[in-house]
Amino acid sequence: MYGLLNRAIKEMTIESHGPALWRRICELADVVDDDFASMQQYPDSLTYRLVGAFCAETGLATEEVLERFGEFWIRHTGARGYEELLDVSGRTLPQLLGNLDNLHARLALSFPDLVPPMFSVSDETDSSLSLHYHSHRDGLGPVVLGVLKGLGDRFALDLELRRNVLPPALDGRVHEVFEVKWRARNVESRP
Amino acid sequence: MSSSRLPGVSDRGGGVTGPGFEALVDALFPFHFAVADDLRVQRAGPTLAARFPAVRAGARLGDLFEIERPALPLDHAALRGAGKSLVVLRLRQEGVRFRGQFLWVEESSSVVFFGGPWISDLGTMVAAGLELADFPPHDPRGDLLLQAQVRKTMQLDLAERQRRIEQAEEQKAELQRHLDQVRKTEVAAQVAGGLAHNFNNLLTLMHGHAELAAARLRAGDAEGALQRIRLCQVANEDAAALIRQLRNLSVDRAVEVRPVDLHQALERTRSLVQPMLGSEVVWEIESALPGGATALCDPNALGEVLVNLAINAAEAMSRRGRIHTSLHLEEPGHGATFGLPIGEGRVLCLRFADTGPGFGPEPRARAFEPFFTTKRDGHSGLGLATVERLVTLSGGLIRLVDARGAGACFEVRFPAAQEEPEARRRRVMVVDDEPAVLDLVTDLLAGAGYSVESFSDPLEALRAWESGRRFDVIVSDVRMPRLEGPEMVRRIEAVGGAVPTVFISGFAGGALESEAPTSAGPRVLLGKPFSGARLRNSIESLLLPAPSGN
Repeated sequence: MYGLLNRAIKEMTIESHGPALWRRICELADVVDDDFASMQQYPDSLTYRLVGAFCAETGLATEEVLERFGEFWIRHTGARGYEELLDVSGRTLPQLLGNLDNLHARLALSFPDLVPPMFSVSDETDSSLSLHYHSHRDGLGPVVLGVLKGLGDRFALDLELRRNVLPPALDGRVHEVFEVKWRARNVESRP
Repeated sequence: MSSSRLPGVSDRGGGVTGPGFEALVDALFPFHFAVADDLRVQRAGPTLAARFPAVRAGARLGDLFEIERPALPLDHAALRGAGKSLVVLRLRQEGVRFRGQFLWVEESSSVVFFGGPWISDLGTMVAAGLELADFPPHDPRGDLLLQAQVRKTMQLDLAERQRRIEQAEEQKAELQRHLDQVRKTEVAAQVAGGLAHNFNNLLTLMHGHAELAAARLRAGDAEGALQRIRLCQVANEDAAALIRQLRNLSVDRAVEVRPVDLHQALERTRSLVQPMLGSEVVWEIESALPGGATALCDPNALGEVLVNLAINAAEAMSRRGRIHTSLHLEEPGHGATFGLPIGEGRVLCLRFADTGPGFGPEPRARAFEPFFTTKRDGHSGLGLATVERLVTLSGGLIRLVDARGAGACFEVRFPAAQEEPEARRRRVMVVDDEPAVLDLVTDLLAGAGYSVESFSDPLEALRAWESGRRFDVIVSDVRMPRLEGPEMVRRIEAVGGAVPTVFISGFAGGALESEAPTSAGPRVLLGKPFSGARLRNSIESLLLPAPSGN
């Protein structure tokens, strides 16, 4: 995975629990150099070790940690200079979710080492849709849940979310469906 | 707007033409627009119409866009002919640039612009009110924009990393300053402690001997009292010597770094101190540098270093054994390994080894510490500390290394002097049995840039020549007990041919006049006293080519 994710885990940890916990997590995860370069490729196992160590140190369940990470990611993405990327990815929540796969596809073309998940949208109405998530990586569905919650905040929407884990595809890819319902919190979407 | 018929599309339905074709063009080129021969917009693609409503049917092209390039007049014929040009337009109202090409559609006499907004970064896209989905999936602009964003992130990363590195460097420098201060305090405490210990011993001796002298006097034993007084004086001299050593350590004495021939310095020091070392100490000098070994250092400091090392070695060997010194040249960059600020220059390494007991692990680690000594006979423990300081002041570095076999081995490194132009680096052999004169002449000539080798024994000088050593000029005393100067030169010339010689003498010219008339090379007799300038002029006069016709 790209260093951008590991940096986000580090920043989330420091923001929520302070640098001392982060140092302990690095020791536990056997991470010597925590100066992650955003666009450098790191082994997936490193990310999993960091998450595992975070869970061990905080006593939180893995799924809860991953969900928190998903929410943090949307905020962190904005803070790290990707605010404009979110701005141009869709003016409304359904537009952005509809563009999610194209966005990841473009990233995959530019960064061959990146193996991003795939998304598609179905059953779209004025206030709901189903977001399909396909990935070669197991166990990261809660991150998507967290991202959706973060997007709900971004678009000032109250969301109802339900996560359904379907049987994996023949090639082993994870398939999860997120039922998303939204209601405007303030005034619909961004201008 | 987007539903109006595409100019040139016939009403045949389906296939290449017809509404299906219009939809295809709209999907592929959502920012296209068509212009009639009156230069008014006939049609605009769906996204262009949605995002930039000013571009509507009937609007004048010239009111909407400025053609930035190429330099095209705003007329239909010019646009028709620009089919192969990359066109850049600027939408006047929003300031957004468009890039594409104009293509002529003959059936409808329309010129159609195929292209889209030129967006170089996501910020511009946001400012233009556009988003990625406005560009068709096949359009690579989205990919380029993402790459641009990623580059921006990488630059942010690098800038952050650079800031962290600078912070770490500052912290390191601060820690180093703190460490240096702690070390200075420790060394000062050590020096003070050692000083107190040594002076206490000496004061005890002086006090004790003084008391005993008084007792002897009261007892009428003048001889006994005198003995004690002499011992008191010895202790007093030891105290003075200690003060001098301390001064060497504590004062930044002025150094004069200049080219010094290390081989010659070794030879000279050996000549001077051999009597002090004892007859059973053999000092061998080896050089892998027959062409010379000139280093940049302070010659006086070097001399003291060599004397200290030699005496240390002799004492360690109980005045029986071998001292082996050797010189070798190290390649550029090697000096950096030892922290020498030499840059790309070469390094001269002088190894000073003895066949004594060597240093154990603890003494090795503390060898250069002030007041550290393994000797039991009242040594101050400042010798090697002084040596290290002198070497460092002189721009060099000294290390205690593992000796091959038993004994101690020091490596002293200095920057090698740059080679001087051939014309200046004359090799001079200086021969004089009077040490003070030998030193003086050697220093004068070395300071003038000559490569000098000195001999206090004319027989040794002759042996050097016989072993193949060669010099451009000889400067020799006339009266020497073992072999007179002129005879020495005659024998040298028998081996190596004519060699210019400057004879220096405190006597009248009779010695030269009495030499055998078989001398080959040119001669100058320089009477004492003489100045450095006269000596140099004498040498140079011998080295000038003879005028033609003489």
